[in-house]
Amino acid sequence: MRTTLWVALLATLPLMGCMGGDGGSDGGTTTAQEAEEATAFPEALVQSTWVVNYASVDSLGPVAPPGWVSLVNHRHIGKAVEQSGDDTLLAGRAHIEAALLYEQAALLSANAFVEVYGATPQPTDPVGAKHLLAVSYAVRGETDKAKAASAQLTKGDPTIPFHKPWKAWLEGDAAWPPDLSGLPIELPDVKPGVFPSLPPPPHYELPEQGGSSSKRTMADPGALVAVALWHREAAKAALGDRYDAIRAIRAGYSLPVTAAAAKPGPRDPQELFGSTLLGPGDADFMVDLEGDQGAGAIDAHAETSLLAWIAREARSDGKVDPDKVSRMVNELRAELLEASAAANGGNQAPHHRVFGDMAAAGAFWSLALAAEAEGDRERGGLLRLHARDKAELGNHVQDAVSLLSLAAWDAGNRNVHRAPELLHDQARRYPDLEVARYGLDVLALRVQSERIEPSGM
Amino acid sequence: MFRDELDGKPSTGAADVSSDRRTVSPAGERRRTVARPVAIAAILAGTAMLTGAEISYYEEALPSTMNPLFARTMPDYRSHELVFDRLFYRSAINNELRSRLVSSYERLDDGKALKVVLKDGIKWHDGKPLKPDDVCFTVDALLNPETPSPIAKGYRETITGCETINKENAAVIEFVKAYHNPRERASFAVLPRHAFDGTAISPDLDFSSRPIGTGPMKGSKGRREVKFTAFGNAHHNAKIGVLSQAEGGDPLVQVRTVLNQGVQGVVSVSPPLRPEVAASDDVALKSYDLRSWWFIALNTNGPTLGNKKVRQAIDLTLDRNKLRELTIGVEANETNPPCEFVSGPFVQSSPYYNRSIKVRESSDPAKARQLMTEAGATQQASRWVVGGQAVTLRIGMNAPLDREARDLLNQIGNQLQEGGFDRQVFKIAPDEWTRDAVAGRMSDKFDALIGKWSFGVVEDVNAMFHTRTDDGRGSLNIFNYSSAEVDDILARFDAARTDTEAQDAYHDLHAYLADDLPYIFLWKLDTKSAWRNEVRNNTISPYYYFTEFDGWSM
Repeated sequence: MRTTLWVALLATLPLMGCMGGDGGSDGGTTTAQEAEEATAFPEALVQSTWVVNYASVDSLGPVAPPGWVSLVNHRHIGKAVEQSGDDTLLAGRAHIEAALLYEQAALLSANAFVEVYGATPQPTDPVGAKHLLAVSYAVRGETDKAKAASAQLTKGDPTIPFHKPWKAWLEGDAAWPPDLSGLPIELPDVKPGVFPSLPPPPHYELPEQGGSSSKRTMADPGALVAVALWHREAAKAALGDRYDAIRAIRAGYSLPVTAAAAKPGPRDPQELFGSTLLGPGDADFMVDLEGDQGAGAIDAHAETSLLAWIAREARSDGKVDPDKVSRMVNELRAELLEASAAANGGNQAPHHRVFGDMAAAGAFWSLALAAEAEGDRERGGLLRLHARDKAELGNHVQDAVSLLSLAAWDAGNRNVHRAPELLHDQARRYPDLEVARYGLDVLALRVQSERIEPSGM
Repeated sequence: MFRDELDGKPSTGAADVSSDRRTVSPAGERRRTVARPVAIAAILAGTAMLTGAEISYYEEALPSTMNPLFARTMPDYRSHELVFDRLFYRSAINNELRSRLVSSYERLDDGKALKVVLKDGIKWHDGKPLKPDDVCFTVDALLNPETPSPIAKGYRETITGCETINKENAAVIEFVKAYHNPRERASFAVLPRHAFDGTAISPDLDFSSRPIGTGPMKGSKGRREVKFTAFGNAHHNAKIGVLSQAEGGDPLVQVRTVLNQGVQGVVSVSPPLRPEVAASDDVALKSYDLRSWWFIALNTNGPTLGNKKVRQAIDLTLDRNKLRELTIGVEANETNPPCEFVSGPFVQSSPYYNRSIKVRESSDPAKARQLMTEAGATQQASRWVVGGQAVTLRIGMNAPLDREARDLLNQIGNQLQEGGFDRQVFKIAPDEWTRDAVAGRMSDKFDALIGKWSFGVVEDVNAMFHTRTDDGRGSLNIFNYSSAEVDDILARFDAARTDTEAQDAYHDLHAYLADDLPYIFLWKLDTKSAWRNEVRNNTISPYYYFTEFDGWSM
């Protein structure tokens, strides 16, 4: 019956196979593409993807409960947490997603504060900016700068109650994670299945300096870190020994200050179900990509990881080529649909296209990290934008963690076109993310003051 | 010459300012590495036309002008990005500040001046070489008060002049004060000096339909389409040979045409049609980052709408939820709709948006009746009557918007009619909207005008709400609204010394306007484009759209 529920929910999506594209081949018919040779993906790696593993309608039973539907189909992390019940894998995966959601928000906020109060400071910047910088540098893993900023806080600074645990951490061994229990923010005891809320911002007012009488309202970025740490503990409590493996699914999305994820990653299709990875070898590839191997992981894992294989085959001039990736991901989606239909007795089911979209979007997000590991931010950025375009297809590809990671990346680039909208979209679903908006606001204001553009069109 | 390190980012070498990605440090070495490609490109430029794919797309409307000095609409801006080069621009991907025209720059006088050295071999679309004179001519044209340019204000407040150093192929732009990053203030499109008689430039010249630029495409505007043809140059190498722009009509026809390969792209896909595009395997929806909000401007100088209570009653008569559902297809309970209500002149993600001012989603007929009664109106046979005359509202709308939000004009009219206001509705052609409505010349014809404003990064709304003055303030004030309180707030914004002071001023503006209602604020609507998959690497730049057009291919 649960399988029926899942299929019924998928059938409500506006993107079912019956709605369009009947006349066209999956992956698009393109003049240039037709001229290029079709990619021959390694059959074994395609067959081992979670997409093909869940191709038959009968196989959907384990992922049919509402919590899984919330996590994967609706991409609603909060609901997934609350619906996880005694499903420890679901609870663990959902809490890890929640932790990363807040970590990416903290990184976004950190990048914004560093760009404003660090890179382009003004004499009128408010009292308290040093605390914001200290937390931001800490989140970015720039501990020496964090210590220097922390040392500059002066008596009477309104942020001192919020800075106290950070100061203690910076004056100690500064080994992540900090003990933020001293923050004037109450969180419940850690318990899987709970999605705690933060006190609504603003948290304090910061007087501007240099003759200005204005006060800047501010939310404390440490609050985001505190909630992220809370969810990490909840994930550990739920997953026990499996925590490290499941965490590896999201290698590449941790804060720069945190220790890299460790191998081995998960092999079980349900553990990978609906993730940005495709198959069993991908987590290990992503772990090595983000770890010491860096871009060398592409060649090292190309025989065992479909993502690494695509990254290797999509190279031009020795680097991952976004245009090739784009073509190959479209082809991969078509091949996954074909393989899914074959695994389902030769019939295409409505969920095949949905899962195919998820796989395509996930491949773009993951391969963006591969391009970045090669040191090419532009190519990595372009792939992030491809992934974002895929997110237009519906809720099932609205991967909040990845989208916020793009916003954080944009904030680090002083891009205040995309980042505010990306954050705003997620904050509508997760109101606590409003805390990150305060940092983004000061960045947007600072950038606006630097530019000349017409009034409106 | 040096690379300054004070631009918010550490400089990464001359590759920063060039579209090619050559890494260069010593100047001599750079000359050696650049010389060959430049020479080849110069030969190509001599042949002018390059072969390449031919594609066509639908725009919201045809551009009102091809002269960037007189850009007034988003189709203008998007089209100009194909034909002209801005001196400095931001990468659509990583937001780096770059230039395709400048090989190196130098920050002089602690940021009060900026010396730019032009790349060699760049030609205008008529084959003449780009010179430093052209940069200074553009600056002079922007600064000349006889040039009625709507985009000049920011530059006039920032730039004081420009001098050429021809022997160095350089120009020095001077600013009113020192800026840590003066390149940010030099983002104007460069014009050819030889195409004009003087720096007092008129919008009526032939140049406005047959422009000469240095951009990737040579443009020519006809009555029914704009044709862009690739122009090989030292700094551009468009892979699309011909790009044809047509005005999008019926949104359904636009979508069906792109799905059936009749065109390759649609700049703006109407929200109700997006699922159909998303379901296609051959066409992709693309994000286009643009801050657009929709409004109904009310004629505060009119006999009836001059009364604030009547304006507030109209606001309370409108049921935005129903309007949005009927015209955009968004239901009230959607969690992440493409259309989000706003209560003031900013999108909700803006730092200027005052979150304490709540949006009004539904109508409140009882309160509307009370306000009308307080305003001295009486209801006769369900119609509001003032001074013995039925209240009749003449409502106009920028015509393309009625396609984006299907039948919005009639739906608003219907709701007002139900609320007791007689109405007459009119669609206004885009060129008329640009020429007359925005310029405040429709006050005697209409009581309400439905439109939208789109912004890039800078969300300066002073021109919409400031009293119109001879010195150009209030230049976009549709009904010549005038409020001393608003003018004071806008003066505070202009005089703000800190970001917080500017933000506080606009928060106050938001609150005041939401009460005084020279505009009824409707919603922000995401813009999504649709492009066929055979058009590849088609990165869409926020606001400007075609900034990365060289990379587009088939």
